[in-house]
This record gives sequence, C-alpha cells and structure tokens, in this order.
Amino acid sequence: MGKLDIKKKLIELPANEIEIPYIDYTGRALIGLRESNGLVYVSGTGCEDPTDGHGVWTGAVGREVSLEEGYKAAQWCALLQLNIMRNQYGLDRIDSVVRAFALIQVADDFYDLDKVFDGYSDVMYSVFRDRGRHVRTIMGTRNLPNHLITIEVETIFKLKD
Amino acid sequence: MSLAEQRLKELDIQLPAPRLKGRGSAPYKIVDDLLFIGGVAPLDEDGNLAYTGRVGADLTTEEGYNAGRLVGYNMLRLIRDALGDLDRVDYIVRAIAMVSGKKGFSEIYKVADGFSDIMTEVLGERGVHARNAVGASTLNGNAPIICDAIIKIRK
Repeated sequence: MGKLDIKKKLIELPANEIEIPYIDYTGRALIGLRESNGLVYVSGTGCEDPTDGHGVWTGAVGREVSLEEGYKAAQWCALLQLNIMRNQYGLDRIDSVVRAFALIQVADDFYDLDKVFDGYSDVMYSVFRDRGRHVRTIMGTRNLPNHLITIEVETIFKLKD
Repeated sequence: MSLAEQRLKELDIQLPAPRLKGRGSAPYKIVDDLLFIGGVAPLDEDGNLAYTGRVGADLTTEEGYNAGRLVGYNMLRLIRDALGDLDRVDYIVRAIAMVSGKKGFSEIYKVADGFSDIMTEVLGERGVHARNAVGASTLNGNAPIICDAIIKIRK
C-alpha cells in the first residue's frame, strides 16, 4: 500500500496502489465545495494538515522547498481533495477530473512549475487513469495564505450522471 | 472550408502544433457542451517558448502583447484539434490571462489584449470573452504569458 505520513512528509505512491488518507473532519471547517449541473467546484486546497490547519509544506519552491518536496506537496493536495470528495460523494461517483488551477509559491528564478504540479496530476492519473486527465492552469506567486504554504489547488470534478 | 478557416488563411495565420505535457494532464477536455483548455504558452512551431522573461524587465509591453497573440494562435489550434472545426465554437465563455511582469508592472491588461485580440480577429463576436488578467510572479519555463479558457460548444 502507498504510505502517507504527514509529519514525515513522506508520500510513496506505487504505480497502481494509492492509499487515500481517512481524515476525521469532526468539528473542523470542511474545505468548501459546491455542485452545479453535475460539476463540483472544490475550493482552494492547500498543502496543510487538515486536522490542525498547519501548513505541512511552507515556503517557496526553489528556495525553502526543493522540487522533489514541492512535487510531494502537490501530491498531498490531490490526496486531500480526494478525501474531501469521498466524504461528500464517495469516489465511485466521480466521473472525471476536469480542471485544476494551481497557485505555487516559487523563487523568482524557479521556472519548473509544471514539474511541481505533476505531483497532483500523477495522483489523479494513478487513481482514475484516463478519467483523471485534466486541463491545468499553473501560476507562480510570491505569497500564499497560512504562513506561506507552498501550493494551493482549486479543482472542478465531474460527477457521474 | 469553414469561415474561421478561411479567415485564418486570409490573415496568413499558421496554427502551431500543440505540446503534450505529463501523463496526468490534458491539453483540453470536453464536458457536455463545454470545452476546457488548459494553460497555453507562447510556443513556436517546434513547441518551444518563442518568448521568455518578465514583461517590463526582459520584454517590452509590445513584445508581451505579441507573445499574447502567439498564445492565441496556439489556443486556436487546440480548439480546432478538440472540435475539428473552429466553427463549432459557440462562444468563448471565460479566459484567464496570467502575465509574468517585473515587480510593480501594471500593464497586464495590455499584454493580455494580445490574446483577446486574436480571438476576436479570428472568431469575431464569438471570440469575445470574460477575462481575468492577473500578474504572476513566475510562469512555467519563464513564459511571459499563459492563458486558459472555457468555451461553449455549438450544438
């Protein structure tokens, strides 16, 4: 099974086995989502520990955070979103991943934003295969909320009819 | 030949070939009557960035505008790939234009106009769109501008 340990920032994802973490949201503010005409709009999901709200990765890729760690932070955002979607609908109701909009905090001389966000896209592909393929819009920024988390992703999913 | 194709020919516009990214991402995705286009960079015919750098520092606003036009060509090519014919575009719903400028650069909208102008030059009224132009600190590959779009498909 894939292993995920927030404290150690360790995410290992074998090609066909992904363990999506079960997170207890009891008493916590859910990350927002809204459905309209079969499309689900998921709010910006940061690389945070949802149980205590702390940023698991903070700082800019290319400065405080390496490309490899940035990739893991992107994976983490994908796993969080899948957890949110599972809580709300169950994963079997997801038809496909449509679009992801990523904000990544990067150093001014770091240009490999696509490679960082591959962490997110690779998780979606591993879980849903072709249905997980999505369009993506990736933007570098100097500031993100919650003490400068490294990455935040907003996504549109499509539900099955 | 469709009207838009004819217009492209009249304007002597060649639409460059698209570049495929990582396996989990797609250049476009169709959901019902909506076509989603992912971020499109100002690529040349070989799929390399024709413009790099920040507008206001490495590039002039005019160069940024031209990069925006090239993004438009690339996107039209993707739309044609996705729909088979540009005449199947009902209208462009919405676009995001991300512009990488030097600190304090505020002529973001002028750079984004390069993209928007191409859309209306080729598609006419159908190319008019709601637009969100935003300044990015950095874009992939040090591109000066990247745009995405949501397009309504004609029934």
